[in-house]
Amino acid sequence: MPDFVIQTENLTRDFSTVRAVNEVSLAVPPGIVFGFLGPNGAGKTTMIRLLLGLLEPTGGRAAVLGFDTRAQAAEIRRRTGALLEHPGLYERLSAEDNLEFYGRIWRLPAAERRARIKEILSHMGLWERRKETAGKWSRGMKQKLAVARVLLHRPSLIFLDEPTAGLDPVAAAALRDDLAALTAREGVTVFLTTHNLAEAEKLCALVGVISHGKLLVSGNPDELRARSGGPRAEVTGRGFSNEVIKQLQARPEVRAAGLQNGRLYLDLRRDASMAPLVKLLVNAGVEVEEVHRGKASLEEVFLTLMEEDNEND
Amino acid sequence: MINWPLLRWEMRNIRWWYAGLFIFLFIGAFSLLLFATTGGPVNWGKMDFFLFGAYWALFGGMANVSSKLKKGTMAFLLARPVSRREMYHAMALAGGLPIIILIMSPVLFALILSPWLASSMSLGQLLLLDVLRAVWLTALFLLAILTSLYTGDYRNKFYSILTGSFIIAVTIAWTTTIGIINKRALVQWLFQHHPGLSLLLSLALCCLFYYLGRRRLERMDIQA
Amino acid sequence: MAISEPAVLTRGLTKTFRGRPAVHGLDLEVPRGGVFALLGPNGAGKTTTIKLLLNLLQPSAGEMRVLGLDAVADSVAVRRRVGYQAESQHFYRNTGVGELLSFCRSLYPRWNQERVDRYCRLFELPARARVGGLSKGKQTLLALVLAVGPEPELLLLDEPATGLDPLRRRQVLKLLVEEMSKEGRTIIFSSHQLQDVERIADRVAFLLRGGLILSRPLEQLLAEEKKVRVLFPGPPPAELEKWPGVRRVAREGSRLLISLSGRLDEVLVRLQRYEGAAFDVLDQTLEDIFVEYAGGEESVWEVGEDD
Repeated sequence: MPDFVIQTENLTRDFSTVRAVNEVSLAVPPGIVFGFLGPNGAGKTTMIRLLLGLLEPTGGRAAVLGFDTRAQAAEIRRRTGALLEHPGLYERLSAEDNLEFYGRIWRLPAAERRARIKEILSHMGLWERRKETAGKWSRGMKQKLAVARVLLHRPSLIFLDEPTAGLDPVAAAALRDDLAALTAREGVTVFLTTHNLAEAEKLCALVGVISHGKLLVSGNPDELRARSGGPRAEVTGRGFSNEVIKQLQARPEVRAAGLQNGRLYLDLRRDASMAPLVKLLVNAGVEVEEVHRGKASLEEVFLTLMEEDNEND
Repeated sequence: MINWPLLRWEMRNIRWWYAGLFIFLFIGAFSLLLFATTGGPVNWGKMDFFLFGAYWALFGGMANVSSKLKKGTMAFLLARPVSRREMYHAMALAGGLPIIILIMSPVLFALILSPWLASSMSLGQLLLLDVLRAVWLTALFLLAILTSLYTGDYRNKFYSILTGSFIIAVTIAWTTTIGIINKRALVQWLFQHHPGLSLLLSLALCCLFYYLGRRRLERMDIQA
Repeated sequence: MAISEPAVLTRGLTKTFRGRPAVHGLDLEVPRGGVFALLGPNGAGKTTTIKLLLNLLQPSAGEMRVLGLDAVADSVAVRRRVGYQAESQHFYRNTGVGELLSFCRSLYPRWNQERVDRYCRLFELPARARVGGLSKGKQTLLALVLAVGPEPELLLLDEPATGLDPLRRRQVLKLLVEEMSKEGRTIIFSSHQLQDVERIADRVAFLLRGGLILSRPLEQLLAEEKKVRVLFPGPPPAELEKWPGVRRVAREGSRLLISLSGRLDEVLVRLQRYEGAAFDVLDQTLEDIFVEYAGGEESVWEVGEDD
């Protein structure tokens, strides 16, 4: 096993006039969930295609599972699974037949195929319903089945492009749990793109943020949260007036202040102290009930990064 | 009844299909010219290039409707202030008008070229034949739209098979009547004995398919 | 056409697909103005409901009125005053963005070109780009621009922010709240992003298996839906589940978790009568409430519309 499942050096891809992926150097260690984040059209899908060897890079190189994407794309595709835009299921076939079909494509021997299908469906709680037509299932269950399809041939790396988009919170949580459990148990590395940053925070050991084709940062979510974005504070109470908010906004340690659902949200600079602000609020006649301070969420980190990126342009 | 912006848009979207039609028209005109210059008698019943153009029109119209249903562009249009009837008329006109023009074009050419042509038919007969063809083809085109409305959303297999076989039967009957198979006897039967009747019959079919297609579209669930 | 009529009113609205009901006896009332969120698991009938209101689907039974008009008989008039963004985008892929915009403009009596241009710039939608060449997220944004163009009185948005990155999502929410809603337009949207819903919705409705479970102002919902965690020293009262406001009692280790829908004060008074009963009240986020209402029976709802 190489040290890194995915390793790219200055990977670049141009489309006629646009540089979709711009000198990305990335290293993903085995056995983790890697979150690949970025705004719409940042180059996430192009990156996945490059890594699967479906697109030829314009410059740089990439190795996946130790194989070069240019020369050994077939080797890579044999050892990886991908769930891209479409779930790739046959709506008229039963769940079991869908997997059976993919098992045959992957040339799994009959006995192993059957055992594997049973293992994976039972693990996802779908075994009892394996005879039902996939087309009649809810979107959440279809998506689970699609993940089962991707994992069927025991790949050591899987690519998932927004697997929970369009799922309701319950279905998304169920899929996430299954995904986390299965990949941990089988030691699969996951390359995941998502717009749901709370999800990335829950699942990913490592995230990379890409914008306009450039990799802005990569690292552990906690590290990123600590690095950028000041602490946030939330004040519950009564009597917030526009004037108070203006006063707060004028303070040097406050980056932003605003009301949402009757709560006051403060975006503070690093090392800002809350006590003088609370005093200001009380003096202005606000009945403060609760002050809650928290670290920046990954979403805030992302937004800060995007703002900085746009300023640089 | 007619939504002009929509009609313009519809025509614009099938402009490649029109280009195909004009190629057939061009080839047809060219071969006519060839006949005219060589001076041989022209058999108007056998202007196959125009006929191929008509088939092209037919399948283009079907593809237009069913692709609309499958890709959901019908849902896109019908979420806007466009009534289903306007939608139907725009589809039928954008697809049907060129068919009529194409079919009537031999008459036009005949009129222009008549001084040089020795035709096997009189101009009156020719005109009648063309009107008949145009009406027939319009009926078939409307039937094609109707069929596509059933098959395009692929839910009602029974109807799609039924209308599919019907359209094949009608096409065979029509080709035997007007051109390809055993042409002489039937053309004579139609033109010399019952021209009015056959025109009436075609018009009736036209109206029927127009009505059925419109009703189908007005009651349909627009998915996707 | 009384202005006081609600934006949407349905009575017994039912839609079946080959015998399977997707929407079943739905009585929905959406007042004018404000932001109304339609929530529910996949397949609960949200998309079907929205399509019924636009008359893309024909109702199997029931009545609906949109902006005071019959949604079936006067459908074209309704659609003249409604902006719609579909869940997934189906455009003419080979046309340019500008061409599509000017075509749509020609269909409506009113069109705010200034706003359309402004949002095309903000969302980076160049007029010359081919629609089919846009990324999925950009197509979603284009659909939104098309929906707000005709100055609609009512916006029907089916998962407007799905597939958008956080930055774009915020821009979209801002557009909805700070422009559309402020100008007095009614917004009905479905979403699975419950943080978004919490941020912008005035009222929420829960749909489950094609029926309406609740429709309430968001603040009221958050104030009423509470959980109380109790530790009784002895056996808990036998008729606990029949107390007013109690929806469900679950066991959590040695303690009981009581789900309440309103009447918190009453329940607390009753609990205080039990000597030695220790309890605390838990606030719930909208997501907690969603899971509470929808998640009780695993994620195995049958689909109606999306098969």
